[in-house]
Amino acid sequence: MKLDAFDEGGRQVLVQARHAAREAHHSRIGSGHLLRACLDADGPSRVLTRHGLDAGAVRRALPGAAPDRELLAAIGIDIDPDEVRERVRRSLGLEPSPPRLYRRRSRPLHIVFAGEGGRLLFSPGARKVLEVALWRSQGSCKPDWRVRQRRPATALDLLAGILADGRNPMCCLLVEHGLRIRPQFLAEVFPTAT
Amino acid sequence: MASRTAQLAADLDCRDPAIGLPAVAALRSLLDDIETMQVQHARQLGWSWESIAGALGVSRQAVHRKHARRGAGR
Repeated sequence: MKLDAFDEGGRQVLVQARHAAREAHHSRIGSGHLLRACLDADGPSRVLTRHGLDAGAVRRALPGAAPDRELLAAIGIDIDPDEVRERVRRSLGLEPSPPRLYRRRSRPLHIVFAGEGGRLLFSPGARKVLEVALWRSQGSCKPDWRVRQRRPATALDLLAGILADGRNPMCCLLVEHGLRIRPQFLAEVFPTAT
Repeated sequence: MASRTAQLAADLDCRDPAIGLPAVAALRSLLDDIETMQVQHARQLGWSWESIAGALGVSRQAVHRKHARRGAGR
Protein backbone atom coordinates (compact mmCIF):
# COMPACT_ATOMS: atom_id res chain seq x y z
CA MET A 1 0.00 0.00 0.00
CA LYS A 2 1.55 3.25 -1.11
CA LEU A 3 0.55 6.87 -1.30
CA ASP A 4 1.23 6.77 -5.07
CA ALA A 5 -1.82 4.52 -5.40
CA PHE A 6 -4.00 7.58 -4.70
CA ASP A 7 -4.51 10.62 -6.91
CA GLU A 8 -4.19 14.20 -5.69
CA GLY A 9 -7.76 14.30 -4.27
CA GLY A 10 -7.42 10.91 -2.57
CA ARG A 11 -4.12 11.88 -0.99
CA GLN A 12 -5.66 15.13 0.20
CA VAL A 13 -8.43 13.20 2.00
CA LEU A 14 -5.88 10.91 3.67
CA VAL A 15 -3.67 13.79 4.79
CA GLN A 16 -6.69 15.71 6.13
CA ALA A 17 -7.92 12.63 8.00
CA ARG A 18 -4.49 12.18 9.55
CA HIS A 19 -4.45 15.81 10.57
CA ALA A 20 -7.88 15.50 12.20
CA ALA A 21 -6.80 12.39 14.13
CA ARG A 22 -3.66 14.10 15.34
CA GLU A 23 -5.54 17.19 16.40
CA ALA A 24 -7.91 15.06 18.48
CA HIS A 25 -4.93 13.16 20.00
CA HIS A 26 -6.21 9.85 18.72
CA SER A 27 -3.63 7.14 18.21
CA ARG A 28 -5.54 5.82 15.20
CA ILE A 29 -7.05 7.34 12.10
CA GLY A 30 -10.71 6.28 12.18
CA SER A 31 -13.54 6.23 9.64
CA GLY A 32 -14.89 9.38 11.29
CA HIS A 33 -11.72 11.26 10.38
CA LEU A 34 -11.92 9.90 6.83
CA LEU A 35 -15.57 10.94 6.54
CA ARG A 36 -14.84 14.46 7.79
CA ALA A 37 -12.06 14.74 5.19
CA CYS A 38 -14.41 13.39 2.48
CA LEU A 39 -16.96 16.08 3.33
CA ASP A 40 -14.26 18.71 2.87
CA ALA A 41 -13.28 17.24 -0.50
CA ASP A 42 -15.02 18.58 -3.57
CA GLY A 43 -16.11 15.43 -5.43
CA PRO A 44 -17.59 13.31 -2.62
CA SER A 45 -19.35 16.20 -0.88
CA ARG A 46 -21.06 17.25 -4.13
CA VAL A 47 -22.37 13.72 -4.77
CA LEU A 48 -23.55 13.36 -1.17
CA THR A 49 -25.42 16.66 -0.99
CA ARG A 50 -27.03 16.02 -4.39
CA HIS A 51 -28.54 12.86 -2.88
CA GLY A 52 -30.03 14.51 0.16
CA LEU A 53 -27.25 14.61 2.74
CA ASP A 54 -27.22 17.45 5.26
CA ALA A 55 -23.43 17.87 5.37
CA GLY A 56 -23.52 20.49 8.12
CA ALA A 57 -25.50 18.19 10.43
CA VAL A 58 -23.04 15.34 9.82
CA ARG A 59 -20.11 17.61 10.65
CA ARG A 60 -21.79 18.59 13.91
CA ALA A 61 -22.54 14.94 14.72
CA LEU A 62 -18.92 13.90 14.24
CA PRO A 63 -16.94 14.14 17.47
CA GLY A 64 -14.68 17.17 17.53
CA ALA A 65 -12.21 18.53 20.04
CA ALA A 66 -11.36 21.99 21.34
CA PRO A 67 -8.17 23.34 19.72
CA ASP A 68 -4.96 22.62 21.64
CA ARG A 69 -4.28 26.28 22.10
CA GLU A 70 -7.50 26.87 24.05
CA LEU A 71 -6.97 23.74 26.14
CA LEU A 72 -3.49 24.88 27.13
CA ALA A 73 -4.77 28.35 27.96
CA ALA A 74 -7.33 26.74 30.26
CA ILE A 75 -4.55 25.30 32.41
CA GLY A 76 -2.66 28.59 32.32
CA ILE A 77 -0.17 27.98 29.48
CA ASP A 78 -0.35 30.76 26.95
CA ILE A 79 1.33 29.40 23.79
CA ASP A 80 0.33 28.34 20.29
CA PRO A 81 1.64 24.74 20.12
CA ASP A 82 1.68 24.53 16.31
CA GLU A 83 3.67 27.73 16.13
CA VAL A 84 6.15 26.42 18.73
CA ARG A 85 6.60 23.16 16.76
CA GLU A 86 7.23 25.06 13.56
CA ARG A 87 9.67 27.46 15.22
CA VAL A 88 11.69 24.66 16.84
CA ARG A 89 11.80 22.74 13.55
CA ARG A 90 13.01 25.78 11.65
CA SER A 91 15.58 26.83 14.25
CA LEU A 92 17.11 23.33 14.21
CA GLY A 93 17.12 23.33 10.41
CA LEU A 94 15.13 20.08 10.12
CA GLU A 95 13.11 19.22 7.04
CA PRO A 96 9.42 18.37 7.58
CA SER A 97 9.14 14.59 7.27
CA PRO A 98 7.41 13.52 4.03
CA PRO A 99 4.14 11.57 4.34
CA ARG A 100 4.47 7.83 3.78
CA LEU A 101 1.80 5.11 3.69
CA TYR A 102 2.75 1.46 4.16
CA ARG A 103 1.65 -1.91 5.45
CA ARG A 104 3.80 -3.39 8.21
CA ARG A 105 5.50 -6.49 6.91
CA SER A 106 5.41 -8.27 10.25
CA ARG A 107 1.81 -7.20 10.99
CA PRO A 108 -0.15 -7.15 7.74
CA LEU A 109 -3.26 -5.73 9.41
CA HIS A 110 -1.38 -2.60 10.45
CA ILE A 111 -1.50 0.14 7.86
CA VAL A 112 0.75 2.99 8.94
CA PHE A 113 0.62 6.61 7.84
CA ALA A 114 3.94 8.20 8.79
CA GLY A 115 4.68 11.88 8.48
CA GLU A 116 4.87 15.05 10.54
CA GLY A 117 4.69 14.05 14.19
CA GLY A 118 5.30 10.32 13.89
CA ARG A 119 3.38 7.27 12.74
CA LEU A 120 -0.36 6.77 12.99
CA LEU A 121 -2.22 3.52 12.39
CA PHE A 122 -5.57 3.20 10.67
CA SER A 123 -8.38 1.73 12.78
CA PRO A 124 -9.79 -1.61 11.53
CA GLY A 125 -12.82 0.15 10.01
CA ALA A 126 -10.69 2.78 8.29
CA ARG A 127 -8.34 0.10 6.97
CA LYS A 128 -11.30 -1.55 5.23
CA VAL A 129 -12.17 1.79 3.67
CA LEU A 130 -8.67 2.07 2.19
CA GLU A 131 -8.67 -1.52 1.01
CA VAL A 132 -12.02 -1.16 -0.77
CA ALA A 133 -10.85 2.11 -2.38
CA LEU A 134 -7.70 0.43 -3.74
CA TRP A 135 -9.59 -2.68 -4.79
CA ARG A 136 -11.90 -0.49 -6.88
CA SER A 137 -9.07 1.47 -8.43
CA GLN A 138 -7.07 -1.58 -9.39
CA GLY A 139 -9.76 -2.91 -11.64
CA SER A 140 -10.44 -6.08 -9.70
CA CYS A 141 -14.18 -5.39 -9.55
CA LYS A 142 -16.71 -5.97 -12.34
CA PRO A 143 -16.89 -5.58 -15.25
CA ASP A 144 -13.20 -4.91 -15.77
CA TRP A 145 -11.72 -7.55 -13.56
CA ARG A 146 -10.14 -9.40 -16.46
CA VAL A 147 -8.45 -6.26 -17.74
CA ARG A 148 -7.04 -5.26 -14.35
CA GLN A 149 -6.71 -1.67 -15.46
CA ARG A 150 -5.01 0.26 -12.75
CA ARG A 151 -5.73 3.89 -12.00
CA PRO A 152 -5.02 5.98 -8.92
CA ALA A 153 -7.74 5.81 -6.24
CA THR A 154 -9.78 9.00 -5.87
CA ALA A 155 -11.58 10.70 -3.01
CA LEU A 156 -14.79 9.15 -4.37
CA ASP A 157 -13.23 5.68 -4.06
CA LEU A 158 -12.60 6.41 -0.38
CA LEU A 159 -16.22 7.49 0.06
CA ALA A 160 -17.30 4.26 -1.64
CA GLY A 161 -15.10 2.45 0.88
CA ILE A 162 -17.07 4.00 3.74
CA LEU A 163 -20.40 3.12 2.08
CA ALA A 164 -19.33 -0.43 1.23
CA ASP A 165 -19.40 -1.52 4.86
CA GLY A 166 -22.91 -1.34 6.31
CA ARG A 167 -21.53 -2.00 9.77
CA ASN A 168 -19.35 1.07 9.62
CA PRO A 169 -20.98 3.58 12.00
CA MET A 170 -20.13 6.39 9.58
CA CYS A 171 -22.21 4.69 6.89
CA CYS A 172 -25.20 4.64 9.29
CA LEU A 173 -24.52 8.29 10.19
CA LEU A 174 -24.81 9.30 6.53
CA VAL A 175 -28.13 7.51 6.15
CA GLU A 176 -29.44 9.05 9.39
CA HIS A 177 -28.65 12.51 8.05
CA GLY A 178 -30.68 12.27 4.91
CA LEU A 179 -28.56 10.37 2.39
CA ARG A 180 -30.91 8.48 0.09
CA ILE A 181 -29.25 5.33 -1.20
CA ARG A 182 -31.18 4.87 -4.46
CA PRO A 183 -30.15 3.28 -7.76
CA GLN A 184 -29.11 6.69 -9.19
CA PHE A 185 -26.81 7.26 -6.23
CA LEU A 186 -25.31 3.79 -6.48
CA ALA A 187 -24.76 4.30 -10.19
CA GLU A 188 -22.72 7.41 -9.41
CA VAL A 189 -20.64 5.99 -6.59
CA PHE A 190 -20.35 2.41 -7.82
CA PRO A 191 -20.48 2.85 -11.61
CA THR A 192 -18.87 -0.51 -12.31
CA ALA A 193 -21.04 -2.50 -9.92
CA THR A 194 -24.39 -2.01 -11.60
CA MET B 1 0.40 38.74 29.61
CA ALA B 2 -0.75 37.04 32.78
CA SER B 3 -4.15 38.71 32.58
CA ARG B 4 -4.63 37.55 28.97
CA THR B 5 -3.96 33.96 30.01
CA ALA B 6 -6.39 34.35 32.87
CA GLN B 7 -8.98 35.68 30.45
CA LEU B 8 -8.62 32.72 28.07
CA ALA B 9 -8.61 30.31 30.98
CA ALA B 10 -11.84 31.76 32.29
CA ASP B 11 -13.63 30.70 29.08
CA LEU B 12 -12.90 27.02 29.74
CA ASP B 13 -13.38 25.57 33.20
CA CYS B 14 -10.03 24.04 34.17
CA ARG B 15 -11.65 22.21 37.11
CA ASP B 16 -13.52 20.08 34.58
CA PRO B 17 -11.49 16.92 33.88
CA ALA B 18 -12.93 16.91 30.34
CA ILE B 19 -10.83 20.06 29.80
CA GLY B 20 -7.90 19.41 32.13
CA LEU B 21 -7.03 15.93 30.84
CA PRO B 22 -7.06 16.81 27.11
CA ALA B 23 -4.96 19.85 28.02
CA VAL B 24 -2.35 17.53 29.53
CA ALA B 25 -2.52 15.37 26.39
CA ALA B 26 -2.00 18.47 24.23
CA LEU B 27 1.03 19.47 26.26
CA ARG B 28 2.48 15.96 26.14
CA SER B 29 2.09 15.77 22.38
CA LEU B 30 3.91 19.09 22.01
CA LEU B 31 6.63 17.84 24.36
CA ASP B 32 7.02 14.58 22.41
CA ASP B 33 7.36 16.43 19.13
CA ILE B 34 9.98 18.80 20.49
CA GLU B 35 11.88 15.89 22.04
CA THR B 36 11.84 14.01 18.72
CA MET B 37 13.18 17.05 16.89
CA GLN B 38 15.90 17.75 19.47
CA VAL B 39 17.03 14.11 19.49
CA GLN B 40 17.09 14.05 15.69
CA HIS B 41 19.17 17.23 15.68
CA ALA B 42 21.58 15.85 18.29
CA ARG B 43 22.05 12.65 16.26
CA GLN B 44 22.79 14.72 13.17
CA LEU B 45 25.48 16.52 15.16
CA GLY B 46 26.95 13.13 16.04
CA TRP B 47 25.87 12.83 19.67
CA SER B 48 25.87 9.27 21.02
CA TRP B 49 22.68 7.73 22.39
CA GLU B 50 24.41 7.67 25.77
CA SER B 51 24.99 11.40 25.93
CA ILE B 52 21.49 12.16 24.60
CA ALA B 53 20.01 9.93 27.31
CA GLY B 54 22.16 11.62 29.94
CA ALA B 55 21.00 15.06 28.86
CA LEU B 56 17.34 13.98 28.84
CA GLY B 57 17.71 12.26 32.21
CA VAL B 58 16.51 8.83 31.05
CA SER B 59 18.24 5.51 30.42
CA ARG B 60 20.10 4.86 27.17
CA GLN B 61 17.77 1.96 26.36
CA ALA B 62 14.70 4.13 26.81
CA VAL B 63 15.85 6.86 24.46
CA HIS B 64 17.12 4.35 21.90
CA ARG B 65 13.86 2.40 21.94
CA LYS B 66 11.83 5.56 21.52
CA HIS B 67 13.83 7.29 18.81
CA ALA B 68 16.17 4.92 17.01
CA ARG B 69 13.57 3.66 14.54
CA ARG B 70 12.27 7.12 13.71
CA GLY B 71 15.24 7.66 11.48
CA ALA B 72 16.88 9.97 14.00
CA GLY B 73 20.24 8.50 13.11
CA ARG B 74 20.01 9.33 9.43
